[in-house]
Parts: sequence; C-alpha cells; structure tokens
Amino acid sequence: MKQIVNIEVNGDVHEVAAEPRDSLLEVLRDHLGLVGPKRGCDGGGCGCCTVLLDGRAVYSCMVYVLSAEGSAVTTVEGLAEDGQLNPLQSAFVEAGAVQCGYCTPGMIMTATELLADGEDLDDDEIRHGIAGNLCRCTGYQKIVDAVQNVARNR
Amino acid sequence: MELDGFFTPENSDEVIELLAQFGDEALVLGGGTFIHSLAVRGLLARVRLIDLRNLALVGIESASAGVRLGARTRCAALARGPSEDGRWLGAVHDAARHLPLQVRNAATVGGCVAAASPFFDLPVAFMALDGVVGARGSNGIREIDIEALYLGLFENSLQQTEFIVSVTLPRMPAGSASAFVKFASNANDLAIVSAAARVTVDASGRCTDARVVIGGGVANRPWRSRAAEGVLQGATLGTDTLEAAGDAAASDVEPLSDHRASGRYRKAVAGVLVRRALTAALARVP
Ligand code: FES
Ligand code: FES
Repeated sequence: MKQIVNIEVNGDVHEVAAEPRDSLLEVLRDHLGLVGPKRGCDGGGCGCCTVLLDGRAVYSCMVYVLSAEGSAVTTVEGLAEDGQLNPLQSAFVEAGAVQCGYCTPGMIMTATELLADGEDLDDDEIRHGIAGNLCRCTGYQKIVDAVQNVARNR
Repeated sequence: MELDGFFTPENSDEVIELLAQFGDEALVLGGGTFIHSLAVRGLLARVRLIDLRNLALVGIESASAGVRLGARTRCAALARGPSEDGRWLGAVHDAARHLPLQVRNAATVGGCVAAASPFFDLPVAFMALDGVVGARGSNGIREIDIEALYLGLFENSLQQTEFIVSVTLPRMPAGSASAFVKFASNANDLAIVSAAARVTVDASGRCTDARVVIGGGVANRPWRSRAAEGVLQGATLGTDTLEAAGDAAASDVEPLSDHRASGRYRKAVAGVLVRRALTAALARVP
C-alpha cells in the first residue's frame, strides 16, 4: 500500500506517494525525473546512484524512500548555481575526469562530501573516500586530480 | 520480495507490539543497507519493515565503565579516532573505516550487529572488545554477550519480540590496545578474512589479557580463537609468539569455501591476518 513521504530535493519540497519497497533512487529518477543519479547495479556495489542525504553521501538505491521522510536530498542537478557549473563540476571537465560519464554524478556527490569539511585532503584520502564509486573508464587518476584541484584552491 | 508495510512506531512498546503482531515477517530497519542487499538477491519473502527513526537510540556515550553506542548510531560516527586515551577502541575505528563512505553513512551499529553476518567488519571488532548487546523486550533490557548473540549464518539469538538498542564496550585497563585488519578483493567488498586483536600488556611487557577474533567466512559467525589467546596469555609478545598465535588461530578454524576464496586459502590468510592484527594492536599500546 502506498504511503505519502515528504522529501526536499535540491531545495524543493516534494510530496510523493511511494510503496514500502521503493528506493530513493526510484523516486528520484522515475517519479521526479531527476536522472542525474544513475541506476548501475541497484545493489550498493557501484556508487553511481550516490546522492547527499542530509549532507551525507549515500547509495540512493539502498535507501528505502519512506525512511527518508523529512530529509533533504541533493543530487548532481542541485549543484550548478545560476546555470553555471560549480567549481567541482568545472574541475572534472578541466581535468578530463569524465569519459562515458556514467559514474560522474555519483563521483561528484561523494567528492562533495569529502570537500565539505574543509580539511586538507591528500591523494590517498581522496582515493579512500571514493572507494565506494567505481569508474570503468578513467583509471581514477584524473578524478583524483579534479578533486585535489578543488581541495587545494579552497 | 513482497514488502508489505512500513511502520514508524513512536516508542519501544510499539516496536514490540509490531514484532509480536507480524512475527517472522517483521524486520527492524536501521540503515537498510543489509536488508536491501538481501532483497535484491531475492532472499526475503514477505516483509514488514519497522523503522526505528522515532526512537532516540543515537549517540556515543563515554563513561568510566565503558562506551555505549546507541543502536541507531551510524557507522560513520565510529570511523574517526582512536584518540590518545582510546587506543583500546582502535579495532572499532579500523573496522568502521573499511566500509565505503556511502555504506557507513547509512548503516547503523544495531543493524550491522543484528545481521549476524560473519563477513561484516564491526562485529568482529566488537567481539574482540567483549561487547555487550542491549536487547529491549517486553520485560525491559536484556544484556547479551555479543559472542552469544551469534548462532549461525544470519541467525541471531534475539527473541521474536526483542530488538537491539545498544552495544556497550567495557573500558579496558591501562596498557590495552586493539586493531582490526581485513583482506578483501577490493575496497568495496566483503571480507575474505578479517581479524581483530586486543592485548593488555603489563609494565614488564607480559600479556595479561588477549582477544583474537576472526571474521569473513572462517566460520558461520565471527570466530573467537581461544587457541590463539592461549598462546598469548602470560607470554612476552615477541615476533615468535605472534607467529605462534597466528598458527594456532589458523589451525583453530574450518573455513568455508565460496566464490571469494577456498577454505584452504582462508585458513592460510587467517594466520597471517591474526599476526598482523596483533602487531598493529601491540604498536598502539601506550
Ligand atoms: S546503483 Fe546504487 S550502488 Fe550501484
Ligand atoms: S567515466 Fe565511464 S565509468 Fe567513469
């Protein structure tokens, strides 16, 4: 039986009718049309569905949406400011950290949390931080470079 | 999976009522990561989820007797440290850091313990610290030694109408330290083998107390190796002793074979990891 859940997504509050089994990812993609978060494995193994839930990176495919009542979600669509890519997004473009792009929205959301606390990050910490995000294309170095560029220039 | 109902009880009594009403179909929801991973593999039949979000149960309370972790505390909260006076807790911090960020931000202390999976990291660390699980039932809170919580694969000793509210780690005496190490195929995978060790060393360098716990499919639950502990107890912890403890631990287990590794391989790795966990714990002794 469907239940009503209220979640704030990228600043807008949505009231969604969802089944108990529905994941946050399903609601974002299939109800709200936000296809930035990707459905890769749908099982907590790849990271391309990563979003911020109350500021913390989570696999949205593993979050039961009814458990997210009252939470604030940020997807990659919520990062640009006035139609301009934010510094992290620009850094990915500049470093060539995107090939097929399938992992990119998740990578960027994970890196957003890593960068949020303002502490210095060495490359190892970045690698450790993005360990839950798989990339089949880039070999990771350019992703680490992009995150490091932002970390250094904060 | 037929997920048929999602409940958000207001207090413990309501949780217990729902557990009684739905019996085997009731599942208590922490972060949902484990339940989801069962669901996607088709391992859950009809399920009613009981979300504990309206119950406090969050936080880390440090007292002279020890540290109490609320069941809904996210594993991420354990990924920092250990602090100077918290070296005895080292294994817990090590284990929490092995979870991918996205999992430790969602998964809870209570959930990872209740799952009764030998492949999880934190329970191995909790067992090395003589963790005590608080289970709330209709007669109040029952304290269960974490070793007694594990009956078998995905099988815990909670009664039908009990749910986990806390994990308490009794404070270890001065001269104690612990560490956890893990061997997995990649940074995101479950353990092939893991090991946690805790040692207490007196002023003369003798080991007065030790725990050795092995996880990751060396048994159908986290395995406390009393054989290895016996080697350490009363000994001076030089390289030879640590090596002997590792050997004792390896002979003590009959690991499973699965797609991750053969039993023989796990057995060999178990000995190495026990030695490494002991070495890391010893290096932390103040
Ligand atoms: S789709 Fe969520 S982790 Fe792969
Ligand atoms: S750019 Fe293709 S998976 Fe990362």
